[in-house]
Amino acid sequence: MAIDKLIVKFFATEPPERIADAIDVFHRWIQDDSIDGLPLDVADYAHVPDGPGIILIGHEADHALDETEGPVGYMYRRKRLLAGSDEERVLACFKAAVAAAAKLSEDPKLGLKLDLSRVRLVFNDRLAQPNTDAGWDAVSAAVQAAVSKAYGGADLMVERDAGDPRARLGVTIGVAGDHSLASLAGNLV
Amino acid sequence: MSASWKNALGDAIPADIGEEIDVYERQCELRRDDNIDEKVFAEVRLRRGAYGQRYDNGHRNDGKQIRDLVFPTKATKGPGVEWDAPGMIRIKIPYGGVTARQLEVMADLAEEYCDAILHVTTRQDIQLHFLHIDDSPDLMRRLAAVGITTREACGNAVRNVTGCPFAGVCKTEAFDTTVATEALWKFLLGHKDAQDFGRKMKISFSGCASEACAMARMHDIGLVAKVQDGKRGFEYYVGGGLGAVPHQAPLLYEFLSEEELLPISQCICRIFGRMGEKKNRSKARIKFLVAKLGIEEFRKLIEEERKTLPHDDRWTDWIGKNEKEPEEALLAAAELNGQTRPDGFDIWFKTNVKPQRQPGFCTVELAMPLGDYTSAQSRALADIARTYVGETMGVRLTVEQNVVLRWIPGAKLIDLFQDLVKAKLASPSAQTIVDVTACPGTDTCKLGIAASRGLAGELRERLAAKQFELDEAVRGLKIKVSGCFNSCGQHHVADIGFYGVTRKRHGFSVPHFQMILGGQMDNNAHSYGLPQFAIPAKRIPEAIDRLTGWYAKEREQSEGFQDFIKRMGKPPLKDLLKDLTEIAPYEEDPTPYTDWHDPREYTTGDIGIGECAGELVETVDFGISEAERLAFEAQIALDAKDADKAAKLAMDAMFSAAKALVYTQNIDITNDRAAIVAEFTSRLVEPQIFWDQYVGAKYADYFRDAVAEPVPAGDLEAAHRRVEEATLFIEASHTCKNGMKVVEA
Ligand code: SF4
Repeated sequence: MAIDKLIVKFFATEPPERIADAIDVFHRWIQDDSIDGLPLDVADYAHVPDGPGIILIGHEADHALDETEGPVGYMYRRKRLLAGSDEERVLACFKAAVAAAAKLSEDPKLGLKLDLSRVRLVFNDRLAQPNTDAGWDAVSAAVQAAVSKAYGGADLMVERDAGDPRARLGVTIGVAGDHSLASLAGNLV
Repeated sequence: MSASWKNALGDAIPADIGEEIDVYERQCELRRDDNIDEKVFAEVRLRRGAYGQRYDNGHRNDGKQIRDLVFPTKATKGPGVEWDAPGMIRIKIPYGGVTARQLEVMADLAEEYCDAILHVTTRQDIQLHFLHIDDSPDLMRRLAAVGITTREACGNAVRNVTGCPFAGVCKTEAFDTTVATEALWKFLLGHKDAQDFGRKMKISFSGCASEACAMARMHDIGLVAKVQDGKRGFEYYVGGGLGAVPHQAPLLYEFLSEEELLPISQCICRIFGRMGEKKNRSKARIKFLVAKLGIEEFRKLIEEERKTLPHDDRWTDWIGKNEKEPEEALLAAAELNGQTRPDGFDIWFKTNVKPQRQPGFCTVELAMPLGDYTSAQSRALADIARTYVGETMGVRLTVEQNVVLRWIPGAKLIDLFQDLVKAKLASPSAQTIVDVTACPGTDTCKLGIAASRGLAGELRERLAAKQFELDEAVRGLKIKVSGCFNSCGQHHVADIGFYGVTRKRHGFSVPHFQMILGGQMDNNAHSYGLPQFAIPAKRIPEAIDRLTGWYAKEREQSEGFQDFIKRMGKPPLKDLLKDLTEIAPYEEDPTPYTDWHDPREYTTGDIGIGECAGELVETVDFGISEAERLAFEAQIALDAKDADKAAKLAMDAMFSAAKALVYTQNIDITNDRAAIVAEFTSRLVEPQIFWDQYVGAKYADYFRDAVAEPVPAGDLEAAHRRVEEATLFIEASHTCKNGMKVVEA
């Protein structure tokens, strides 16, 4: 089954002092019309430990200052309307994620710095991409091709999540070399 | 076979429930293509637990302007409700009892379809937010595969039946009410006598009269376990409720035997369905009917109804199953011994652990902040349940939005505490002032006036920071917050309650909370608090500090908060807080003009039309709508050249419409097809109710002739005619229904 629901997360090297500050930032994004797609509302889960933090809920995708998938970071969660091959779908998610991550990092209110030497991907559909060897084999080539493209052909070190088989299929991909959100955006044009 | 949850789950979904969900999915498709009425679909959706959410009308104030939310799908899922707009799904968890596997599946659903958060409601449900309706059928299938239904979680129906989370292990209970709760909710789920209400009905079971756990007296039907002359039964209350006009339920029966529990409840449903208000929603709960008639008259009506109620074996076949302990502990009883206690254990033990009736066992309450926990925590909880209490027993949700683990041997408390710390579930604040209860409010509720969760979160954070310095009496107070007067946060039964209101100040709308003081959960919520005055939302934390400080300082020895407030009276309270009610003009200080955790300038413009009341759709409308769906399926079968299937579906469609019409005259009509035809003829055709002024009984005869002359097997042309006749019969049913007068009992 094609990839329709994908999560892309960049971890923070310098997390914001208060993740609740992202509430103001996301409301501003809606007011300024400064994010692609149809943003709907802001959800506040700052009170939940290791929770989804602050989420800009959108129709096609959510953006979050998130604490669920590992340490705090920026999370892009695609929910619907992807098209094309799996590689194109992953690239589309990357492109949207990089644009929003750059915008979030630039916001002086947060002082967020992201670690681009690794990226976390979670396949948010247990039926389409089960957390099995076969599930990973079915998407692995497309995913690696897309991530490599996003990182300008850099070498990748893919680490599939081990442990809880109840979790979704997830990988953390380490990337050789120095990268910035601007360079990633350039690679994704 | 294509990959789908339906195929993947196969037989794990009980066949009848699977079929119901297939029908619901088809209804979704029909609505998306505008082939069924949006009002009927809205009630269909609500009765399956799929609720609307704030901004689903396609408009939202972003703080500067009202924005149109332009969704790609041009369809509605109810009057003024956009198809693509995210909604909430309410998952019924009767008496809050949940298994380890169910915790895991709900975790998966929250991750894949929503925002990875599970929210415990004040009625022991789980709510997931930001769900797209297209995902709802699969979500329901995955729940059904682990024995959970969302059916009748919303809408004008019997909602989740709640019960003490300590049932079976509590020291003060008369007996374990779990089996009775199970029997009643299963009996009333989808029961034909519980489908015609003007509003919802909430039922609660309590094990004893003195404690607070199930708050029987604030429910439409409240039951308190009682043993009389060695026989089990219930104190039976009817007609309570919170909402804008709170009512204490009057006592209907001092003692009702177990044998009569189901039939009397059924009688009440019939009377409520028949006589309850249908037009004026704000007067449609059963509390208004009971108040109007008086409890004596209401009791007489029940007794009359009982005499003619057709017998049902299910009334008593559950009795006796609760004579012995329904649960068995996974681990052996053992007291907490002299093990070294880790940091934080003692304070957690004091607030979160209670001894069970059974020696050597404890219950442990997990304080979920604002009722929320993550998918990962849900899975951790499943693991903890399997380690300490077993797969199917021992985890219950509470009306205070927490989770209780039962059957924990005292000697295992330290291990459990350490596991809870790892899962970040060991907050030492259960049943304290920090453990604030809140409804969704403006976060997601269409009716919210103020940010109840924003306020509750703020209070929680501030109180948690200083909780160990607080006076012991203050630490034990309860705060509950609702986003509006509808009381979903149960503010009437808190020591300190709040509900959202708005006030015009200096030309602006300003979020406020009305303060309610002196309510009581104990004794089954036997006294409601009284409104004091409204305070700007941003001033509430300061008001709490002053109020609790005043109580700590001025209370007489061991004086409870209710008594203290009564003794002090209103004037000194007003003096204490008066300055907080005044705010500077916007230009000087804009802070009070926004709500908690929301930087937008406050507006009431986002308040929508609530779906709590459901759509008033009569059973007859459902029946005719079902007939339309079946006729549509028949068309599809014709297209596929399946004559037999088309003919059968056309016949089913006619029976559905005919039965729905007969139901308006006889609510006891069954699915017996011969009886439907006979009653359709005697009650509707012969008195010329189902009658066309030009062609008389012609349309009725399509139905009666079809019954007499089935379509020959494989005859596509005859099947085609039958489908046409069914369509005309359904049209005539609509006409008949619109012109008919429903028989009053
Ligand atoms: S009390 Fe009001 S705001 Fe809160 S959930 Fe109920 S209807 Fe919504």
